[in-house]
Amino acid sequence: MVAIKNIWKFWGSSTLTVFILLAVVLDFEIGFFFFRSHPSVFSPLDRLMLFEWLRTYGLESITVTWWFFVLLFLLFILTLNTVVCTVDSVAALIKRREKFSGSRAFVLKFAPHVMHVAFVLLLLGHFTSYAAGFNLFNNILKQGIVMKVPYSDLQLSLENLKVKFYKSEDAPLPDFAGKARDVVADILIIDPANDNFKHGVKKKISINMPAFYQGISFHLKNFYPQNETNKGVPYVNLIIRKDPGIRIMAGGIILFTIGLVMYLFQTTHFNLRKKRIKGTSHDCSNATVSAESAERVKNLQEKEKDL
Amino acid sequence: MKKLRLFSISMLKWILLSLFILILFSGCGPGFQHFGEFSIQDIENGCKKVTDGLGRTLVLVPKGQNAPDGYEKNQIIKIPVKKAVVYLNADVALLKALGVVDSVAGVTQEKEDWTIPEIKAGMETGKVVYLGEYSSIDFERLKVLDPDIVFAWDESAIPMLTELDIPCVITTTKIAKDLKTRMYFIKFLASFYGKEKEADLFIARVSKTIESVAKKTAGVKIKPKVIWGDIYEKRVLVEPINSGAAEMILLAGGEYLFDDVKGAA
Repeated sequence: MVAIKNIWKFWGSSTLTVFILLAVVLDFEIGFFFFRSHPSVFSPLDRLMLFEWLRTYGLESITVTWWFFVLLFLLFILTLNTVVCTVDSVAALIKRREKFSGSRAFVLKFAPHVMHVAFVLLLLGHFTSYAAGFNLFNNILKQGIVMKVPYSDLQLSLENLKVKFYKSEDAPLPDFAGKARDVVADILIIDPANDNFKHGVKKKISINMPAFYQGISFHLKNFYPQNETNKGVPYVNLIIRKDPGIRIMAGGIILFTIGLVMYLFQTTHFNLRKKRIKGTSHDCSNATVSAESAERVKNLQEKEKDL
Repeated sequence: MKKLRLFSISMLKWILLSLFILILFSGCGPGFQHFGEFSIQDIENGCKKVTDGLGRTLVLVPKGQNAPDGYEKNQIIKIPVKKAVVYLNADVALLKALGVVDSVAGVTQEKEDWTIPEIKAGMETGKVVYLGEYSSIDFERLKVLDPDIVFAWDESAIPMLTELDIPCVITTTKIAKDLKTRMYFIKFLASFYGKEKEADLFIARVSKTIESVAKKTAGVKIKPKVIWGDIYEKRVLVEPINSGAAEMILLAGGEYLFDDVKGAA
């Protein structure tokens, strides 16, 4: 029991937090140089999921990727440290509930812990996306072909591709004349499992305008023709992604914002209160009021010390 | 202070232990090699999973064997390749180095543009067919050829070849291949032919040559200023500093003038 308590105390220590954060910063600094000098090792992170990259590029080039493994380890222990520290602090806060002047002051004190929980959610969201999702590049689709969407029962086809080209009169530079200025692709997503959409759902995609269906997103990476003079077969090159952690990350962002607003409110509220109290204590014409105010400021400071 | 030191030592021990375990197991993963954007990974039953220059995953399956589950039909390539269409003459040169230039059945340069005798002779006898320029490939003629594979550099060929049920491998990358990637790329091509040993011999020979040139030019005082590029009607395209061409110039004792340009070939 004592051993468990000691382990818990170790993992909840704020000193440990400082060391982990310093180690993370140092690791990032070292990693920056490896990342820049070996793009072919790290660029596959754009298309591969985390564990696949670790198993292949990560282990094969361990002399340049070791810092990434260290980073994952540090983030793991930082998460553990944050969870234990937050549980301890929240439990201590709840124990001292009666020392607060009101419920608002009590609730506002949770602000940093809300932000800590949000931080854990953000890390968890990223991990979920990169461990359980998929990011498939180079899905080339031309009209008349039905493609199976990997890791699902969905099928995909290109119904129409509209490319607008620059005319010589509206081209920003002479070289742009005849080149593509805008593209919209109509895709059909067939979902055999869904009776409502057995015949397909039509979606439009364009540059920076993906289509979404049942947690899967379809992004336009490239298209053809890019030039009015191109004679080849029109096609689109799609990136198909599943990002299961995006909702967890969104939750983390919202929670972090709430925590930040709470903290801001708490800080300004207490500072204003202190100023008001100190302000009345400087009124020399009313000795009784100044004594009360001084007492209130003293109590406030003692409460802050306790907490 | 003592408490702080204890934490830092125990954490340092954890990190060092983990690093040691990592390095110990670094060679133990499934056989995986990468050369720039290209990669080869051994998977079940003698099959190989490769990544081409576009980042597409393809599976090389020995003839007579079943393809592993989880891959689409257009990702499967039966090996060893016997007949190929090759867009780039540089890739044909590498196939010659591997001893499989006879597998080339279709090209995208005319006979007059070739210096490789086997290709010139092949085009005279009709064994090697000119399919047209890359922007206007005669896909009907290509279909008649019925190659096992097309080694292309043009992404726009993929949808047509998929419709014709002919596997396509993109042999170029968006970022310029550095010298090491250019040298080791032959191993990627070799995996389609089962000529890995020939690839290793080629790499050893080329590495030796490069080393001897670099040694000879190591002490040169006067470094010629060099640029490497193509001049077109409206623009000049140069090789970036991260390219194999620029690296060779530096190794040969030259000064590459575009050392501030990085990116695509």
